[in-house]
Amino acid sequence: MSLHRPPRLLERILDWAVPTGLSGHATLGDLAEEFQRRAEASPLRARLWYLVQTGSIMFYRVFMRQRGERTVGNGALVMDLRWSFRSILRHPGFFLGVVGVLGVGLGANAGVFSVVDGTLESVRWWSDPGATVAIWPEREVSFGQLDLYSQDQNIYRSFGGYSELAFALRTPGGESVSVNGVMITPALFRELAVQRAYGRALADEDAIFGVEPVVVIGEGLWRRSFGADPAIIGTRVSISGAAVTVVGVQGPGSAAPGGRAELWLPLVMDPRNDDFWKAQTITLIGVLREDATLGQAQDELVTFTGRLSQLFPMFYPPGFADGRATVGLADKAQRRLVSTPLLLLLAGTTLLMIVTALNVGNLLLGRAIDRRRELAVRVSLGARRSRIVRQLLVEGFVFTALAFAIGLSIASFAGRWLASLFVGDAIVASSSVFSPSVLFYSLGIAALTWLVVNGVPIAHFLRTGRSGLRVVPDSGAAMQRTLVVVQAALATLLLISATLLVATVDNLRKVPLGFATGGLVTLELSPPEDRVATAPVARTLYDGLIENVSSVSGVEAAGLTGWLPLRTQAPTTPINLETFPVEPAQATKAPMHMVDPGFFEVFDVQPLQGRLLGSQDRGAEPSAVVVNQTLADMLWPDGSAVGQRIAIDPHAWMTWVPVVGVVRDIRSGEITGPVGPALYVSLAESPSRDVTLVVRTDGPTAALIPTLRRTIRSVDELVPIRAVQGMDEVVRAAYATSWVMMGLLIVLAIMATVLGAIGIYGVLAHHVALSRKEIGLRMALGAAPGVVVGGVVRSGLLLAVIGIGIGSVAAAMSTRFLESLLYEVSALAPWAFVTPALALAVAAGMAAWVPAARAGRLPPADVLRGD
Amino acid sequence: MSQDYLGEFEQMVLLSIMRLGKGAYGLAIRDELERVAGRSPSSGSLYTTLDRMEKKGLVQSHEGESTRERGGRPRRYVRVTAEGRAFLARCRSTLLALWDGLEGALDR
Repeated sequence: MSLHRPPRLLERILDWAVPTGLSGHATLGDLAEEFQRRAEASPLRARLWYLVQTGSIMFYRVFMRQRGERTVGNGALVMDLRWSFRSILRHPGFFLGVVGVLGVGLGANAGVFSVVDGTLESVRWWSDPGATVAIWPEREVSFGQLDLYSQDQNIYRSFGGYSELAFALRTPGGESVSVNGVMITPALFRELAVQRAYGRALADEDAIFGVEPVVVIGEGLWRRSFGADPAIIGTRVSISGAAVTVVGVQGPGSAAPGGRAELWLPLVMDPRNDDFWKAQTITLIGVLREDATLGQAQDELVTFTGRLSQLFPMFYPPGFADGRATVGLADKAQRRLVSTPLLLLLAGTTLLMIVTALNVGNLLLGRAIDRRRELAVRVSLGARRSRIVRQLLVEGFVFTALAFAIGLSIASFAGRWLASLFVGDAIVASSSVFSPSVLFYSLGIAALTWLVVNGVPIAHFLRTGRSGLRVVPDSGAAMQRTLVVVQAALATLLLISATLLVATVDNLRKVPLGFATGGLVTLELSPPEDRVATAPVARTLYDGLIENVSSVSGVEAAGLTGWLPLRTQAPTTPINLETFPVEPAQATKAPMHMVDPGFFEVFDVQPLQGRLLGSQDRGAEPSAVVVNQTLADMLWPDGSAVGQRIAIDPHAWMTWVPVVGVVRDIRSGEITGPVGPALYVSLAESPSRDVTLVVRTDGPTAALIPTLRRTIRSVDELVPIRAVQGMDEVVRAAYATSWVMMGLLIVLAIMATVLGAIGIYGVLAHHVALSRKEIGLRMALGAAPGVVVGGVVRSGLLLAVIGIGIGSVAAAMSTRFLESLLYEVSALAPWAFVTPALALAVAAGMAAWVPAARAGRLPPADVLRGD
Repeated sequence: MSQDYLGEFEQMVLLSIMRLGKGAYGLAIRDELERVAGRSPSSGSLYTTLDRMEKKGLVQSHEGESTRERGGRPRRYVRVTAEGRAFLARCRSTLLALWDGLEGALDR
């Protein structure tokens, strides 16, 4: 049994709050014991429970201490509440403003957190994330390699792999729909975090080649297409043309692996199939035995890559995997990928929350200064200072509690809206803001807010409580100013981050793609294996698709490609030169794109030299190659590319294929970085299961999509359509994260700036109000209004400048966290620091001008007479 | 006089302690209250009540064993004092006297 310790911080708070001696000691012990009991069921719920208990004990300690009190709600607390509400009613506008601002801040925080939480939860694929290892995540392996590995391994209790695919499923209604699925080793399937709703899991016997095929279907699909019929277990469905028995229904939230996978089939393949060793599509996963370590897993992988070199020295020369074959926790890499921008965003909203809380604290401090006479009178009449502190705490609590309620109601919308901004399925909001972790976090932030909001006036009161009756000129002003400086610093930090992202997105938009995106629609297809088994069979399908789609009215051109630009990186292939042959391992490598002639037409690519791939290039093996400019310059700097002969199949390393043309560079894998070398071969000669149909239309694309879908189904209803997207969406998706982060940081930065300006305004207005006499006197003595106004504005600007300085230093130290999101912008670009500084200074100047002008208009005589 | 009678919650806590006998400590009392009376008091109210009743002399506590899952902290076993029992007895007889003759009144 493992020992669960209660949250240390809460325990420390309690230790301080409970009475000394046995009573307090035993209380903490009881709580620890109960925590242990609850944590075994759910650690998160146990923490939440502990928080609630801490709250209840603190509540009783603070409010129920007086002797003789026997029941809740008597005396002190009620009086404090009444006092709070009275002071709220005296300034309802102030109250509403404060609660509204805090509420929005808390809502934004809880919303962002719910997205972070939901996203991290959704990448919890495996039931034992602490032991589930991604083996060699740098590459995918073939069936043969998986087989080889599993024979040798002895440190995993479950071992296997999965491969993501799309299938054509025939629904009971007779319609053929495209469904994403995963072929997975049964042992691994049983390690998935998701529970089954009905039926059984995939069993090891299901993955023996030749047995009756079975499938487990996802809950969503079961509801959508099978009317949630429990009798589906044992029935047969048609998947990509084969009759497959349904043995189970996977429970809700069955996210992964494979994104929105809704079909799980046993990973099995005919060992006689060519692809058994050739097709590298399997991701390796292992679940470590209890006594095994990651270090052992790494050693075993090294042994395995060594064995590959031994068996196939031609493809895997000794040392080929040095440093490029690693193991790591399976969920971790996934988590890091999705969480980096979100955590940055969370940091941003937390900063904003601090700015907001400081601002409110400042406002309350202003009121405390105004009220110091009232408080001082009460102190001298015998009110205990602890009592007054308590009243201030209750008042702050009322503020925060109401703001918290508003915040939570905002949070669920905010979270869902935020998640919808990110393209793709990786980012999801928590199903409910009332999930324990989101509540826990928001309560924590609310408590922090309460502390900041209250700490400021209370600290002031404790310092001046005794001397309150004597009028200390401008007392508390130093604290108010410090707070404004901190706000300005935080606003600067956010503004600089936002500026860097604006520049990034601008740079990304200017990246030359090599083609125009307007009017292009992409349809990802995933034909079943037998439709592309041989070149002639595949040709029938491809020709049928192009012919039929081209004849749809509104379609200007249609082309097929194995790898869509900006979507995925094509696999690289070694290139052997006839004039200078080398071993495959030493050869130059370049991504190989399988395309049909229509591809060049759709993307408007003209040959720079020679010709494009055409309808004559349709043998059983690649018979012609087109290279891009970069590759041509790399291999034949003298410009003699066309007519050269190269080999591109390591299995046929001396089979020469002529280079027939050179085309301009087209961006393929990522939008950032240089466009690398690329070569194009005819899709008809190297059929692929994953092809994208790209269509150029002469009008709006959306209206054509249903027709295109119908046309594809009419060609072959077993060809599933995985996704339909406009090419401009594909391009946008390539920098969507930077784009969304930019938008959100701009919003945060503007809010922080406005709040900072309000803070400066508040402090100066308060200062002017308090120094009315002094100002009046100076003006009566002949000071020009301009001098008075200038003085006030200067003092405001001074605060802003100090804050900007501190914020810039903080930004210089922290913007490197943004670096992974930046493109062609230095995290320390001087202009990214100067522009926000100027903007903030202008805002500060404007905020200072208002109270300054008021000071300049003060009629001296009235001021001196007044009060 | 305020101390002649006990609040309902205090009575329930005292009775739970007596039911538990030697094994009465914070957590056990809470479980007992939940099991028998269907009430799960917050930690704040339970421990404050125990402290208060000890101050009034209705219960007495002594240090018990400490275990690993308690972070090495001891249990605080409580027992009801003679004074506590007298209070309970008085409450009970008062209530019974008030109920006297009313047994059928609730059925109607």
